[in-house]
Amino acid sequence: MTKTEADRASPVTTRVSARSASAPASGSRGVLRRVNASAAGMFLLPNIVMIAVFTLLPLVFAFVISFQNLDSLGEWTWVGFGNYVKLVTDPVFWQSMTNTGIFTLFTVPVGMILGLGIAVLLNGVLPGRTLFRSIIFLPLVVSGVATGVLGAWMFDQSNGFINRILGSVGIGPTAWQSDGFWAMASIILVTLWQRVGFDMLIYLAGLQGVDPSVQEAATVDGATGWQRFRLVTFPLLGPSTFFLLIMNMIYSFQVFDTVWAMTRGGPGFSTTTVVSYAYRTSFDEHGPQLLGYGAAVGVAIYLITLAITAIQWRFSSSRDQTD
Amino acid sequence: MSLTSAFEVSAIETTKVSKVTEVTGPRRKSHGKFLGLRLAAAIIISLVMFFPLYWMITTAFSTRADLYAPGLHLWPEHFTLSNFIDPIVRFPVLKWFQNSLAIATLTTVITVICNLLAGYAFAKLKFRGKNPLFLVLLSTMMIPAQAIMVPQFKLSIALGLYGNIWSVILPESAVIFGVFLARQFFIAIPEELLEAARVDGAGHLRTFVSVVLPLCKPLLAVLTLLTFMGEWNAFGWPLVALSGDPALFTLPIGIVGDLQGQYTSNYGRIMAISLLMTLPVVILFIAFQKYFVEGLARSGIK
Amino acid sequence: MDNLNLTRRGLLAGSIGAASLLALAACAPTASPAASSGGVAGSKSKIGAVKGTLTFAFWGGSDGETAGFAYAKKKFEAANPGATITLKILPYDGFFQGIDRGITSGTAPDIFRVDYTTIGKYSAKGVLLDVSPYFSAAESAAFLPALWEAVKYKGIAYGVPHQTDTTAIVFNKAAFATAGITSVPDKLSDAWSWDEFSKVATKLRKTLPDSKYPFAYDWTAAGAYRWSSFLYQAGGSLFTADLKKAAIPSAAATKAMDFTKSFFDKKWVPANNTIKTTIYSDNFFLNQTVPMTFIGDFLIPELADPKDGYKGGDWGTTFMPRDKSAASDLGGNAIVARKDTKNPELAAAFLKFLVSEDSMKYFCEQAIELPTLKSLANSKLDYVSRPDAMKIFTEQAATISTTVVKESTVASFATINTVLQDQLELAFHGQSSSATISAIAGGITSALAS
Repeated sequence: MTKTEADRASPVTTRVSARSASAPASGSRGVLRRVNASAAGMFLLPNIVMIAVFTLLPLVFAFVISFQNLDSLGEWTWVGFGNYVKLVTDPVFWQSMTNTGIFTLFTVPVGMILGLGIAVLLNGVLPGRTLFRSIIFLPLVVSGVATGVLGAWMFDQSNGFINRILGSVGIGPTAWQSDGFWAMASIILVTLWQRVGFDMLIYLAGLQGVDPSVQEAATVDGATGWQRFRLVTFPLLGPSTFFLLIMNMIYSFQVFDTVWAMTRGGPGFSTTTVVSYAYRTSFDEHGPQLLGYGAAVGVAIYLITLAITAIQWRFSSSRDQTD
Repeated sequence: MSLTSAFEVSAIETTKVSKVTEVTGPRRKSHGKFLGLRLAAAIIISLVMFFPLYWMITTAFSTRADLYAPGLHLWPEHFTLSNFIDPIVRFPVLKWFQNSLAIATLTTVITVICNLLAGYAFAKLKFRGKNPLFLVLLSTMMIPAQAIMVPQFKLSIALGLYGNIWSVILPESAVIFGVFLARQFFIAIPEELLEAARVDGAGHLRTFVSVVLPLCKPLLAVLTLLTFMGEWNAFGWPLVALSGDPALFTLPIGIVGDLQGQYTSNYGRIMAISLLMTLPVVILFIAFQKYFVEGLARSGIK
Repeated sequence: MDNLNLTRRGLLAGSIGAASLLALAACAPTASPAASSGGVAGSKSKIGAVKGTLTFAFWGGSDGETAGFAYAKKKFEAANPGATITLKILPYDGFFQGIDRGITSGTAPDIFRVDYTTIGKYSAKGVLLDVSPYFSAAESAAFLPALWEAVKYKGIAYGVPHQTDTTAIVFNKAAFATAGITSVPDKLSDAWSWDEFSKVATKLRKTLPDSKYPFAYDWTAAGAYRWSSFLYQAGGSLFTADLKKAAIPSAAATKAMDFTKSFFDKKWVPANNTIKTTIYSDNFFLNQTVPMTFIGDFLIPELADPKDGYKGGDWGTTFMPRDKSAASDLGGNAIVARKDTKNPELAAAFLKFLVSEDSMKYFCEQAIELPTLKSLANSKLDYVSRPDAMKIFTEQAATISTTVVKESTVASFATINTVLQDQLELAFHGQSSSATISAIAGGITSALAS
């Protein structure tokens, strides 16, 4: 930091004085609110109209369908809560919930920590920084389909590269497809590989706003690197963390492509996640195509995700972090 | 993300902020001390992350016989370009590419504009029911896409969108993801900046365009990149919307549909075309790197 | 939905051959249908030149198939000036979902290809054109009877049987020689018994390293129903003759289940050659994890491809093993028309053209698939590759009994296949035979009841 910048008033006092100077009179606050509402309408309209038409409306339809027996050719009958009863009494559904929970537990926090660490690492000056960032981002760019095929190919327990490498250092062939534990591990590893770039990207963008001068102030105050990170940088990344937590959770709850491409939900049901569970009975065109039941599973995922998000929303003070 | 400190500096400063070029003595030393360690860590991490991609590349350049040969091969025994050339010769890959480009570009433009506007409203404008409304919109991401595809399809047809690329573009532009991202970003902009503009007589739109937008280059970069990439790779909805008309197929549909139908176990071909597919997005990513350079947020402030 | 596609080979198998011709003609119902709702059989069988346009959708399978359909289109348009057929080649992944969506939204193609196991879903919902008025008694008798049955629902034909496929064994000749397997059946009557087949597998297991396995079976994904071939070979069946109840548990079912489970216990098949896997039986053969495999004839072009085909050396073909009887699975596709197509005459005319001798012969020779006309089944086709292998498949196709056809074409096939998928997967990972069979029986009962 240059001497001139250090000479300026500290950010904290400046903020306070700026705030008091800008508090409007109560009368004009009312005007502001009216103007705000109509301005808000204008800003929001394009997005809300599109979402309402193309997503909210179908969402409502899905709710309705979940109370029906609907087949792919449009024939339907009302079954009330029948689909939901079937859902909660199916042990395979609960197993798929457990599998999804395990998957989420091992991909979301791990991915975010890795992404944050890599973002911090590649944020500072470093030769080849762009190259490193590109390499870590690239897996995200590869389409989900290709990643699944690549994962299946690499972890192929007879011919895959992973087992060949393990074999060359003397580790016997791992049953990545026929053993439940290893099958889940392979999916988690591939998902982490694919998603770390997303976490890195968001954190990188967030780190651009963290002023080194604030960190300098902390250093001057005697903070170590780790303390600086923990007490200054990380809190300032609150909004990014909140965003990633929600987005990654939504992704993990709905994971399907990678699972289907690598294990088809097997062996047995050990990697069957909730969406691949629904796929078998409802969305697979060669299956029974119980679209009503699939909608019910979709609604179940929706409600659970919404509940967890609402809880996080309420208790996350850092989602609207401004300082 | 927080641009707070950066903006506070600018709120006081009316003159251009000079780039930080001088460093104090102790700081320079600490940078040097850790540089070697950081470089080593970066290299190791990149190697691990690159390894599957390397495997993708060698597979793309290998013949099928090579892929199944026993033993460990770190590079193709028989280097071949046929995995790239054959599909391009046999299939309308160029047409698929054009369709993908049109759809992805249009979707990105529409989505980014709508999302920025809406994100700003949720971040900075006060109105009743803001948070509940946001949660409701956010919840549209929480139902698996497959569960709403049939209603979405029926709706598209009812709206007359069948048979052209808008049947893909409009529903794909109806996303809350970018709104969420933009909201988190805009929240960090200090009120004083906006107040200052309003005191100067600017309306909300002018404030947005002239004050807020120039400050959010990293957000724009990320949003454009992720939206373009998401649409470029999209398979589910385009397959549903376009399946009536092979002339409109995008690259993912073509790859999965034709390449995998034909070459179900031909990893070489699938990897080759998938690699080619990543090029536009990678180019975009590299081009946007300058928006992720430390200090830009401050130096970009006039 | 970014699901990785299940290729059509998950569904194609089975065919009818020359040898069965007489037997089937004797025991299968003849081709004059009972009074159908669409009209008297053959009342409109003389269709003259037709005009108009129609769309014909099928999935991009092999080059040979596309060539075969293109040939038929060309010839038909030449014979019917004023008629235009638009071919729509769509991805296999999501093909039927697209058809369903099209039917419910009025945008479906007029004509589409559909496998025998799926046609029942459409016939049962009454969305297909009844073709019986367009075929005279003689014309419908020209088909192999079991296959004409395959397109019927409640006695009415709702499409034309275009081709069939079945499963048989291909093997690496060198590996057999190394293992000391000297005689390989080349006549259906000489097909290996289960005991003889077990001996072959044991010999291979002795000479193969631990990382390789004797063979792989094609019951992966939607091919799960091909497990039933063992059930039929053991003399059993899935349903009772009236197709109303499950015919298992039964001694035959237990025998078949024990036998197939033992493949995994004895390490005769790779541990990941189960139902829920991404590797099919042809992949295992191509990547030389197994020297012998069970595949459908439509995969012969893939194996025989000079550039990308099998690189392990010379390979031959032989028959499925047999126990009390010989059996293989029903595969192949019919072509159907929508009931509400604008020009039913044009549609019927094109359907008939597709299954006329010249078109069918060309198609089968190009696609390496089996014909459904008696005249062609009796004659020698000029298959563009490996006619020696097709000789075996043709004879194997003779083992598709009417029971196999009836059980594979029930309207609730998809539900039953899903039960088979889940339960066989569990069985191959350790679930007991009895638990598996009861679970399958339960699934069948509820499926048939609905």
